[in-house]
Amino acid sequence: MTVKIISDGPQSHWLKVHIKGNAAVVAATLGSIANPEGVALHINEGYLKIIAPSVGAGDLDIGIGVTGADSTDLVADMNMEGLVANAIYYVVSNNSASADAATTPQGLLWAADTYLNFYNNANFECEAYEAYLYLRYIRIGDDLTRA
Amino acid sequence: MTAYIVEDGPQSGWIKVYVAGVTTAGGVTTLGSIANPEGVALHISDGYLKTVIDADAAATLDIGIGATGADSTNLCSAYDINGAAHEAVIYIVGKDAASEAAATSPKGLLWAANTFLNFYNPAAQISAPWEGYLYLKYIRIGEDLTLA
Repeated sequence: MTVKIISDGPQSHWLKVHIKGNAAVVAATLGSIANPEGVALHINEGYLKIIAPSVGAGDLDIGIGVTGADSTDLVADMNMEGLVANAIYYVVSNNSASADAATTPQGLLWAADTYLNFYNNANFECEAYEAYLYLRYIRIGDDLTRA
Repeated sequence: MTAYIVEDGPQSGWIKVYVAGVTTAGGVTTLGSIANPEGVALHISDGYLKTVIDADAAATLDIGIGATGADSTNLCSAYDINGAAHEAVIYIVGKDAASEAAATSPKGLLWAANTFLNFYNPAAQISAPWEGYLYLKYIRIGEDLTLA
């Protein structure tokens, strides 16, 4: 399992996470990222860029939860095989009207003590899979005005 | 032909391009091209066009990515710059994508490292005195430092 935050300066205000599949032939976590700010965040924008698809029929879930969980509130059951290198997909939808609730799939709370989880929920290997996830968020957990 | 990147501070995270129509007889012509400003592949994720002044004749506007000077249409196709209201702002990148939808034209667009952002009037009508600003946001997707 391999997921990690990438810190190549040019990401310019995007949280950029590298995702790598694994050789497990049973459903398994691909890794978890702790909340990087330690306060509640609202994820308001997100994209997934495919670097390489898997060979096996893995299915990718991405979401927020306890570490290692199969969380699906950002991506649910997305094919990992048969994808085109460099293809880009929306992870947070952008089809909301004014006054819509900014809840999944149109935004998501990342609570301070929770994790961004990546999980292959299918009993197939996904070792060749590689991708980048780009997220933007608002620090909604700071209430300094009220202190 | 006039298209150039504007660097007035308030653009705050937006690339802002000024574009003006031309008086070329016959009309059909490029309004300018902008080279990829970062030299790596970019994913255009957000875009708006603001009209400052409309055209007097029935010119239209194409915007897209391609070889320099090309009539590219994958961001904006045959937009009526004659009937555009002053100060009107229109979407250039669609805002109707569901989660897990492909982020391809018109809901996003790859700007390859060696390609250009093109502005073109495909109509046989003079495009002056049209003037506008294009605002774009993008992600630098061309860097795979982890893989290096």
